[in-house]
Amino acid sequence: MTDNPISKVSPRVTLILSTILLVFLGTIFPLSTSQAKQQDIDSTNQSANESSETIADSQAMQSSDESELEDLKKALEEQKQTNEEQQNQYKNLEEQISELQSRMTSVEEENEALVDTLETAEMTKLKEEEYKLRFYGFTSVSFVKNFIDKDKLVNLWYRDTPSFSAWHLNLYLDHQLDESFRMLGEVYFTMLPLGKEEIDGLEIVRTDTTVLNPSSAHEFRHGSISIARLWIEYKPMDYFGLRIGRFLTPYGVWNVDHGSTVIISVRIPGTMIFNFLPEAQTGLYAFGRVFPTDKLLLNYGLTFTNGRGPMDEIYDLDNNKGVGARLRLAWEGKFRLALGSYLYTGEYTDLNRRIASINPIGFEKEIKESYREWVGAFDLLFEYAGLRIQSEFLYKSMIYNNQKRSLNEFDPTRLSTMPDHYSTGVYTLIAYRLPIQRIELMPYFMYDYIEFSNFMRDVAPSIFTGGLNWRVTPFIVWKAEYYYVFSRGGATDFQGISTQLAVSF
Amino acid sequence: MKTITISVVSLLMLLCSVIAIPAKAESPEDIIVFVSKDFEIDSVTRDELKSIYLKKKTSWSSKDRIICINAKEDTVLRKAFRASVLQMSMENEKRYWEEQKIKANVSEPPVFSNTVKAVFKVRKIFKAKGAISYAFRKDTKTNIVKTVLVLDKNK
Repeated sequence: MTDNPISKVSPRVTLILSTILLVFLGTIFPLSTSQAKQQDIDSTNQSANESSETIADSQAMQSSDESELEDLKKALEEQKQTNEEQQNQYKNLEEQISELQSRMTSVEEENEALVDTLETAEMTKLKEEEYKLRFYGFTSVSFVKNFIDKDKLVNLWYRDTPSFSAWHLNLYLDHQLDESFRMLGEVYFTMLPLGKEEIDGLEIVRTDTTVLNPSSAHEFRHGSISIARLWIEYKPMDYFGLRIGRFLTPYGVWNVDHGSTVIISVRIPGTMIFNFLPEAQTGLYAFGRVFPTDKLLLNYGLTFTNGRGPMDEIYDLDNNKGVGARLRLAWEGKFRLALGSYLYTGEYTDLNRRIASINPIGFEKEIKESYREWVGAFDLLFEYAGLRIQSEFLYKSMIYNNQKRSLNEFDPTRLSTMPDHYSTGVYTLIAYRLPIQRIELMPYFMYDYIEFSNFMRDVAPSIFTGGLNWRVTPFIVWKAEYYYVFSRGGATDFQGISTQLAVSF
Repeated sequence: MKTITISVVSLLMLLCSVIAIPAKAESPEDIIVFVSKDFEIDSVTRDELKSIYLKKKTSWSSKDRIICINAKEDTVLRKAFRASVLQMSMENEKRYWEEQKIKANVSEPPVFSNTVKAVFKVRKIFKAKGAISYAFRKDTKTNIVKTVLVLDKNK
């Protein structure tokens, strides 16, 4: 049992303490009550005061609210007005936008119509251009220096003084008449026959074309105009066309290429110089092209012409026509390979006419020269990655008729006549377009062998040519070359250099 | 501070320019070839197209004359066509046409700014069926012309 400190206190003390406590509580309780009451009264009073203040405030507020309300009402009204105005503006803007859009649509339509009209005009103009007469052509100027020993036979045909030369201008007149008909003329302005030489006994006579203008007493040298080509063509489709007129003989690579800007070297091959085939013929030419596959082209041609003659351009002096057939197969893929041939036969006749009698009138013909010729021409062209190899071989047989033979032009004495003979000619050209960007340089090498006649092999020349072809622009070509000519007998040996600037326009 | 800000902004711009995705260049595969809407041709081979545009082939098997129309020089379209079909550089093409002018008396195809409309107009105005041309796929209104398949070789 523990000691409880409270139990130690006597009951009396407890009673006294309790009484004191009660008295104390009684005292403070009414006090607090009164305080509370007082507080209540105070708070009530305060509340009352506050209420009265509030009422006053409320009244003040009320009046202030009312004025605010008025203000708000006014502001609302104003806002409403502003809204209305804005709505009206918005409406106006919408109308304007709509109007602008419709104007824009109409401008776009007008623009499209204008573009359409311009495009139609552009097309019509191009169509007119296609059917317009077109002029274009080419020309060249050259410099040549031959090195020839004085005792060489070749001095008959070549000179050894260094010379500039501007002797030709080729002009094309080209007119596409309609979709199927076309006309082409090639006119060749030249200074010839100035400088042409002929052997007269032991004299070599030069042609001088100097003339005096009688109205001005001004002397000048005239040249001449030659019509190199003049044909009308009907070509409704690729596989058939017909030309009538004067056209380039469709053989080889060189004769077809034809222009000095297209031909790679300065000098043309000997087979062309010595006219193994006529460069051009007058008559009919049927031709066409078919495509057995997309990369294979087959060209064919048939010629029926006056053949070769002293004036075959305009008249045939005999009843025989020249007939030829052309076939060329070309593969055009990653590399290009073409093989071609042209076979020709015709009769050459040169004659004089004379009036044999007056009454009755009678004429005689005296045939000066007459022979039949057969010519076979074969060509090859290969191109790959800048390399170009072209080669032509020609074989020609000449059989004279009725002993009507010409003088042997290779005999300086002019005492012998031409025998029946055959001629062969071949050339090979190898060229390579250097893979240099923006500079089109093409070194080339060419070898020619020309046997004019099987009985004149000693004078048959071989020609080595080495040169450079520079295509300065698509229209300008400059070429320079060295050539060395030699023969078994040495009679035609010589060498030389030449350079040419060729232009197409 | 100002300097640093400018430097940072510049660096960001440089970074953006380096990693910016370049605009998609038109490729040759995006070129389509087309003819007049009522023309019978449905396909051509690439080699045939080349022969047409080099004017080695000038008539269709239907005997209609081929009218090939080129895009204007120096356009992206023309360059793409030249590279993929003609397989030539511009210099080579110019040389080719200059040589053809003298050799074969042939001139290059006409050029138009709008090749689609050109084919359409050739048919409408000149009543010629055989026009052919090319354009980028995205520029071709196929309701006025007919697309032609370009095959790599004959089937």
